[in-house]
Amino acid sequence: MTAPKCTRCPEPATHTLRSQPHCAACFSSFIRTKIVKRLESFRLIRRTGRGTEPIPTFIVPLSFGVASITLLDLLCWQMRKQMSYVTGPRYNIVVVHVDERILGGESGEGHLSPTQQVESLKSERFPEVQEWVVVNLEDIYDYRPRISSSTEEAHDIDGKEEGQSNKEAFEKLMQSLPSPTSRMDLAGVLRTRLVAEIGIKRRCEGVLWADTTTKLAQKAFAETAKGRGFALPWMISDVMSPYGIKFLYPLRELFMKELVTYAKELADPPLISLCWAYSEEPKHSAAKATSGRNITVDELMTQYFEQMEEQYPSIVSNVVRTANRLKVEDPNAEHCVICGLPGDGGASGLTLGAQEETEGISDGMCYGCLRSTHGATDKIDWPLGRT
Amino acid sequence: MSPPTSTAAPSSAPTTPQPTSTRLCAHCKLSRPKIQRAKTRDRLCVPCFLHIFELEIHQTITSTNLFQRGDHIAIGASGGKDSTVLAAVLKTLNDRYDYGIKFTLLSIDEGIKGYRDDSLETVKRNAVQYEMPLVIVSYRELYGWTMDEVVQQIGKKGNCTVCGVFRRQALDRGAERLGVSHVVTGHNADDMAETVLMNLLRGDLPRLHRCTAILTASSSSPVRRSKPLKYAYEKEIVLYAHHRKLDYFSTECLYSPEAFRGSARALIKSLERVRPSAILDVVRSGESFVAMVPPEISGVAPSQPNTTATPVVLPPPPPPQQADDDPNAHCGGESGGEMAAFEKQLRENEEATHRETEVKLPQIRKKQKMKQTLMNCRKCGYMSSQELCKACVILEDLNKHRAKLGVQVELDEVEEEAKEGVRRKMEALELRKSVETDTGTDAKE
Ligand SMILES: [Zn+2]
Ligand SMILES: [Zn+2]
Ligand SMILES: [Zn+2]
Ligand SMILES: [Zn+2]
Repeated sequence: MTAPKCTRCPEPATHTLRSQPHCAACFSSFIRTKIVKRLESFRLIRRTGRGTEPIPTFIVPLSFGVASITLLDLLCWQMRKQMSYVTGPRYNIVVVHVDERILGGESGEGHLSPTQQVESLKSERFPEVQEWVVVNLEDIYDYRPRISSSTEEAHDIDGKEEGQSNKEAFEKLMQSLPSPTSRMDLAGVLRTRLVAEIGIKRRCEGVLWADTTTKLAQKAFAETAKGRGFALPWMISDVMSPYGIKFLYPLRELFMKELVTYAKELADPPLISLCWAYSEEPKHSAAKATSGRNITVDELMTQYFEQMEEQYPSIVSNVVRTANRLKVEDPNAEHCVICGLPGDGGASGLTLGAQEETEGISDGMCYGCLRSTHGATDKIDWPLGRT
Repeated sequence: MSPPTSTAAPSSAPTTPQPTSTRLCAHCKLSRPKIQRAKTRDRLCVPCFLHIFELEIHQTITSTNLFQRGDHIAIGASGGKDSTVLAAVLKTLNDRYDYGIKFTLLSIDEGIKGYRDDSLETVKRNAVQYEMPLVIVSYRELYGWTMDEVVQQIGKKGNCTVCGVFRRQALDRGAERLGVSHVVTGHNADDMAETVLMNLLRGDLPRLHRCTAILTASSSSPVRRSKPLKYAYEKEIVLYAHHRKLDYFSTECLYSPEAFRGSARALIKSLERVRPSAILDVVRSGESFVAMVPPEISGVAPSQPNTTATPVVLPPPPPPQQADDDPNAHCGGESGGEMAAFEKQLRENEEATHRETEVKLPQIRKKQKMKQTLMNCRKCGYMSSQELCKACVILEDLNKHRAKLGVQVELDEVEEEAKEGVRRKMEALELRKSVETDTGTDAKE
């Protein structure tokens, strides 16, 4: 018995990819090609850079999960290759890590702070990166709305009380929200807006989000389940975001499983040791999901699509293609004061839950933000203004 | 999911709050609360709950101008909890707010022994209780076949498709017989949310476009359909029926639903546990999708009622493992076949596209540009996009094999072959269903 041959070359196959036998080299090249093709499709990178022409800069959020580490690795690989040409690299990247320890999550290596971890990545693994940024999620309070000119108003919109630290303000905000799902939902909104703000400050062309097919499908369902269906185009499609920076998804055609294989077995040296946010064990057991306790809507959907990817990967990518075909209903609608997206007209009592509470509930919020703040114990002091 | 009979207290919904003596009904602030709403988790006394439940349906009706004074409207009545609650609430609201509507109960007799004859008895009692006339149309009189006979012929696989096709036409014909052009059905918020997720899962944009509409009219059917319970939670419907001591038939479909629906249903149940508002939130997202489906997809076909798996109950077989409490329901079970088949079809499409060009994104439904002109069925005159309507296609096959079987009934092989033939037709219809836009089987009455 000899090993089956690779589908694409005469080498013996070592891996299965999209149900075809592949050798390691062809597997890697498949992953690279998928990303390179996507990047080209954005039409932001000129093919023949002439030293004098400015090249675009992208911001790459790094969570230390498999997807973002792999994306970073492949971007650096491409830049390295370009540097060996006379024309030089055709784009720059700024990496941003949002430190979310304030949400009570893991901090990685325990003894190393995110800043130290980034330090070690800088020189050892990814010297091609132009700039590294580590920022705390709560520092979103430093990004004041650009709209207000009068100082009085600016202070009011800032959402912070006199003398309160960013940390205190953020914790107070989170504590006032009605449920774990609401907290995770709005923390996600703030993370997205923080990355966008940092990118804009550095004049980046776009954000290269590390969402895989699996993640995009999960997002499509989670956002739908949180009443944010109207916002899918900005969360799934390669578009100009209402924040003034493009949102791009170069990993959209790759499954999580494929990136794990790449990070573990194919990248040289392996990337997996850098991915402290990745864990082999699913974070949420099926039993937990069934009981619905201590799990959020986002986590439930993550679990659902992790399992779906195992059995029905094509259905997963079809979900993403379907969601990707949805168009923004009205880009000129009034922007939601919380998420900053052109809103969907909020809610009526019928959809919010009880017919009695119909009056004046929209408050400039979209339905999803209304849902996540509905029943908050305190008045919501939001760090950002309208976009 | 097994709804309680009218005597047992619902076990799934938390009805009795902890004995906190200080707490009062969130609405009237006077009585002790006896009920916790599934939608909001508000604790209410029974009269307040009944009132608010009815008020929300009233608001749903008035905010969409669903009815006009003087209308004659049929209520699709199955004797089950949804349509019984719908009839009871519409009767109450018609009296209370003087809608000036004439309601008639319209029932379909599929011809299922032990299930339909019992539930029809319930509907007959409802007709007396709510002082509404009742009209029953049967598959036997319309098609010459009862569902029991169909199942005998083709086995259990595919019979939901047959039933769905037959039912849709039967409702239309019943409405026609009554001279009404509007049928209200008992679809609730859970059904609606489930359909939204199912259509996303199947990548069915045309259906995604129309599945949350409260009122659907279509050129392939002379009858408009509407869903006044679209914001009502199933759990609250059960509570309402329980506290008003409504007389309903409490048997659910023994067949596991079609796999995509089954998966979506299990997901909705899990979501509701995580965040009770999620059912409404999915419906709200579905309402946003209406305007987000590109016009080249939504604009082709007229809007249509959504599809629901047919809640037909056949008595003998024990229920296959119901996956209601299992969020992993999509991973297997008897009805996983549709998902596997769909996966295979998608993969073949992807591979084909891949062979043609390395770069292009796979676009599956490009080829099936849906340009359909409606005509009348050559045989029965029902509106159809093909020469023969779906019911007649099915009937032609059923009848052909009945004739064949009449002569050679002892030959097992022939019988098997006949079953296979019908089954294959069924599968072809299923496929047609998933790419067509103007067809659809509206299951629930
Ligand atoms: Zn190879
Ligand atoms: Zn919002
Ligand atoms: Zn009360
Ligand atoms: Zn016909």
